[in-house]
Amino acid sequence: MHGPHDVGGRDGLGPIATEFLEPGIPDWRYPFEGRMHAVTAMAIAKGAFNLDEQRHGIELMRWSDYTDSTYYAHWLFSVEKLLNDKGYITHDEIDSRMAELGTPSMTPHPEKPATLSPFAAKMVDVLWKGTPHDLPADAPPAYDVGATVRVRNLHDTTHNRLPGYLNRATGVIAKQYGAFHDPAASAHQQADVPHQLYMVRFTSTELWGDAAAEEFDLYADLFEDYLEPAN
Amino acid sequence: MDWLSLTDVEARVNALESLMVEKGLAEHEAVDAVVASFENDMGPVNGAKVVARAWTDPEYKEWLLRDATAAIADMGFTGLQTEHMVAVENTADRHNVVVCTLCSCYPWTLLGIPPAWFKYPQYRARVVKEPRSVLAEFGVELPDDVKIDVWDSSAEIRYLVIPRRPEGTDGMTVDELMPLISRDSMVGTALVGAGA
Repeated sequence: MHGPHDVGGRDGLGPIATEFLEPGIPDWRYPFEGRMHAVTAMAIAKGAFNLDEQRHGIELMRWSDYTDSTYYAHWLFSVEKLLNDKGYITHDEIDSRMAELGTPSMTPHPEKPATLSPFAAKMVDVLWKGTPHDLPADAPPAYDVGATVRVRNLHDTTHNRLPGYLNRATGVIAKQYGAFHDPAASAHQQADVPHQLYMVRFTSTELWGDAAAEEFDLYADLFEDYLEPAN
Repeated sequence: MDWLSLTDVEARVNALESLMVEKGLAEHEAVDAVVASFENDMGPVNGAKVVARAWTDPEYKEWLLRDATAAIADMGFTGLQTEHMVAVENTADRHNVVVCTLCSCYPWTLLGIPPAWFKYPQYRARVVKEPRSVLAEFGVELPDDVKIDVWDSSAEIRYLVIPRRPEGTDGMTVDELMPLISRDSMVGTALVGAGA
């Protein structure tokens, strides 16, 4: 969907904030950031929702909330919405608990506990094993390396991983990755559907026109159904 | 609930964690363990080890460029959001820069948590349209004959930029080279050494 997250090429979002370029700024500036990150990973590990659902949830934020909120507010919005809609925790329960708990006092930079519970050990294990995203293909790739392809005129209002600025652009297949989980099937049906993935190369003039200010190449990783053969 | 208020967001995350623990979706100490893992065990020093090895071992560099997933796994840095990797090399006539326009995809176990500027919309919007200007804001001024390649991590493939090894480092060991290799140089928004 062309939601508030789909920002590639958009104007008017402003300069990169100079405070972000301060040397030594920690990557998690507030304790709630790491904790939101951790509970999201846990909910996924527990099977409450999957990564594609979590990304899609963020895409449903109000535009003004998305662009102006602190980054982990996005994760909070999505995780809260998913847990509410799937019947785990309601919005009202969170409202009440906020009132009950008052001002939080979170430990900045917590130490790793001396002994890990089985669940804590499992989570650390998940961090270092990862969750591979490839799947056995059910059909060979349609496009060869070097083939010229065009991104389809595709405007799903559901989840996909097609940046809007690539719509209708012509590019060249640079690499075949094999099949990966289709993000839409994962987000909307919680299904594991293999989908051939490609690295595709585009020129700056193709993307931004002959009057483009700069000359460069851009690569994006696109699923087969986002593409069609170019003439 | 004011989504734009840091105070409200913090209080709501606190309430969410509290309820998730009650409902069996989380444990407080497990949250501490995960946060500690990210803060202590993941970070750009992991990526710097890979780059320093590539700089000093031509066979490893060739492997890294051919099959970064396997080469990085060999160093033990595979993990969450670092399952599928591609390494791209800066040269005398080519400079690479990485972005995730749709969200903030980043190889966590190799480079740690992404920096704020990578996650917020401004960089994501602009670097795919005016990378040279964006790089100049980071202090990277490239000669006109250096070609720029921008990599948008739109799927689950994650990218590592291999920065150019600076002049005057011949004979340096991996341990001596690693502190020179910044996080930003492995995303493409910094150079290593003179002019960095």
